[in-house]
Amino acid sequence: MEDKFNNILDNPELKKNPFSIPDGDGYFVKMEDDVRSKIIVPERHHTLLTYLKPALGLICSFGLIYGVAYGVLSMTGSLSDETPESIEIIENGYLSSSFIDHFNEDMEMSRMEGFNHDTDSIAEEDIVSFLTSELTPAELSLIYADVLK
Amino acid sequence: MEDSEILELYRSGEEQQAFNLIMRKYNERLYWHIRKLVCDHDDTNDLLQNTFIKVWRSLGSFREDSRLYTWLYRIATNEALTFLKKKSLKANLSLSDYSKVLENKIETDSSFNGDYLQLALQKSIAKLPPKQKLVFNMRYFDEMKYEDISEILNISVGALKASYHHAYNKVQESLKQLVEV
Repeated sequence: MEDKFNNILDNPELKKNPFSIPDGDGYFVKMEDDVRSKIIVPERHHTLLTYLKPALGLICSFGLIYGVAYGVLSMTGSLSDETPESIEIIENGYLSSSFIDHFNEDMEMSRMEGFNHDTDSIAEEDIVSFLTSELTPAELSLIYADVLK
Repeated sequence: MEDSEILELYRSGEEQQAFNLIMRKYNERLYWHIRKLVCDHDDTNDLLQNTFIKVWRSLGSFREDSRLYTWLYRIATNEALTFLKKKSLKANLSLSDYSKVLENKIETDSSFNGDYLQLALQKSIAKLPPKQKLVFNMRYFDEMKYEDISEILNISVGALKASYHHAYNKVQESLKQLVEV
């Protein structure tokens, strides 16, 4: 009995494969087809579109990026109607108006600064001659009456 | 056709034809090599297909440092061992505990046509750790030379002999117990 168990693995029947393949003989043909379908890349047909595709893709990408950038700038208000020309006109206008204003102010200031009450008083004769030339006798008599009061 | 002739055909540009010849020559041997490890036809089918896909992808870089036959077996073995590791991790079991799952698979396998003794043998082999199981299967069933097994598993011949001896004794012991019951 002991010898029988010790040599049990020497039994040639045990070396036979007790399993079968469920799918039968066709299994290996199907398996090979499955493998081939997974490894073989279908051949590509080269048409004009195949060659143009990369360039078209590039153009579309640029268009998309430009569109997005324009949209973002419009929404944030970074874009306005002020073209360089319009900016120049405004600046020139500002400069000219401010120059005139400053010029006038300077003129007034210099006139005021140049006037001296002590030295530049008007003579009485000049006043009389101005009034007689500019006013009628009636108006003059009224002024004279006011002065006498 | 010899392996060297197939490889020559591959290098001459007839890649698809050479690959078809490799599949035809080795599909059945590799199928049973994997099936004896994973014990399930569907899993074996997936692993065999993955093996051939890897062979196709790597055939161009095959330098013939080893023979084509041992190279194919090594790819199939790695696929099967990785699969077993993943399965046992997924089931949160150690590889030795996962062997019980494999034992149950054998018992319920509808494609098993053997007798009681053959069933006991398969269950005893399923109890072995994966690498001992590999060595036992290749030596006992496929009657491979130790040198070839050494090339496939990258283990020294001395270590292989020791491993086979251990596996043989374990299977015999387990078989004894199962037959006595």
